This record gives sequence, C-alpha cells and structure tokens, in this order.
Amino acid sequence: MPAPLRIQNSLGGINHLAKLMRKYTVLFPQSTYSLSMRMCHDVGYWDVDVVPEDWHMFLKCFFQLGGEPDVQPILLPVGNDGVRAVSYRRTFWEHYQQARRHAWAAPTSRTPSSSSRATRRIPFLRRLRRTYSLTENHVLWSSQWFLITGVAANMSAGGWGGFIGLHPFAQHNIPTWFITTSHYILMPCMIRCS
Amino acid sequence: MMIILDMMMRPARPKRWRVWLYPVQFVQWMLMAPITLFFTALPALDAQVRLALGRRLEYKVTEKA
Repeated sequence: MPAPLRIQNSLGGINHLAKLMRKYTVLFPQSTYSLSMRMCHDVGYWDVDVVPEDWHMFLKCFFQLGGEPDVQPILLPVGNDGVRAVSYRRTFWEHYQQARRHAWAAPTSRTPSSSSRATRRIPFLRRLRRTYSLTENHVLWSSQWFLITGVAANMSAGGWGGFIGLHPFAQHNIPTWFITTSHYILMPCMIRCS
Repeated sequence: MMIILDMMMRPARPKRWRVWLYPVQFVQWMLMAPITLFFTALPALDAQVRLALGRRLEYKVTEKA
C-alpha cells in the first residue's frame, strides 16, 4: 500500500479505537456487525437502495423498535481494510472513491422519522443524543481538517509552536485567501437536504 | 502518541526488512496534513456538495488487487 494511504488508514484505525474507549460515546456499527434474525425480520430487512447500510440498518432498528437497540463493541483487530488497486496511481483514485462513498449520508440522514409511533416512544434525550451524534459525525467529517489546521496555527502562535518550527503557520501568517476559501468550501455543509 | 499507537498496532515486520526504511516510517507522518485534506475532507465535501445539488452517487465496488 502507498505510504501516504497507510497514514490515512492508521489515523482511521486510531480514531475508531479512541471512540470505543470513550465512556459515554454514542456508537454506530462499523462495517462488520451482527444482529439478530428476529430484529432483522421485525424492521423489514435491509433497504436495497442504501449505500451506507451499516449505519442505516442500525438507525432503522433504533427508530422502529422504540430506541431499544444499542451497539456493543467487540475489541478485535480487523486488518486488510486498506485499498490496493492494480497500480500505484489507481490506488489513490479508488481510495478517494471509497472515502466519498463512505461520506454519502443521504440515505442515512433520511432514516430518523419523528412522526411514527415507535419513534415517539423513545425518550427525547436519547433520540436527541443519537441524532446529534449522527449530525456531528457528518459535519465534522468535512470540516475537521479546516478546524484542526486553524487550531494548530493558532497554537503555534504560542511558545511551543516556535520551538518545533511551526511559527511560519502562526495565526497572523494565515493568508486571508485561506480563511475566505475555507468559508466558501464549508458553506455546503450547512445546507439541509430533504 | 498516534505514532506510538500505530507502531504498537502494526503486525510483525517481514523477515526481509530493509533497515534504512526504519526512519521513513516516521517521516511519512509529515504527510498527515495534505493526506487528510485530500483523502478525508475533500471526499466528504464532494459527497455533501453532490447531495446538496441533488446529484446521484453510483455504487461502485472498490477495486482491490
């Protein structure tokens, strides 16, 4: 696998591990999961027109079954999840395509329905927590890079930044075009689609 | 911290490991900022902009060698 993509996959693995370690985290099933046949039958099985089926299936069960289903993590290492296509360049392209598909949230976001009887049975805070987590994940997915870069640049204005050579990225050195472009790039994240 | 965690989670190195590659595994972390921009933030923005504009996304199985 190309070294740059190894970085990306390592970061992904550490990120998922960190989420599992948090005490009050809201978990969603990730790629490899199991559920009971009974629950699957009760909610009408998987939707055939949904790409991110793991989150969608969980939310479908969660909302249709009154908020009772929850995710129990199993701490087992999973390997060989990185993309490796037939050529070096193609690997990057396929990785981009896969990341874009993972971020495709339309079918997932259409799942929560406040009108059904089962959904109204779910305590408001439990529903809010789940929906907030879903929204937070998708909003931060596209904006975290800009946020982290901004924070790192701000911190570098302090003492330690200069010590490790980050002072060129201090806040006063962030060009105006970067801030303006970030605003325009991130604006679509705020558009709600129905 | 991330570099240490990454090293702990990796499988054993192959037997024919070239020693000069050892420092490279630290140097590659300097690519973190551009890589996460191109392979995390931009694909997500791409997907969200397509969603906002009402454009479809076809499911294509990821090519793996």
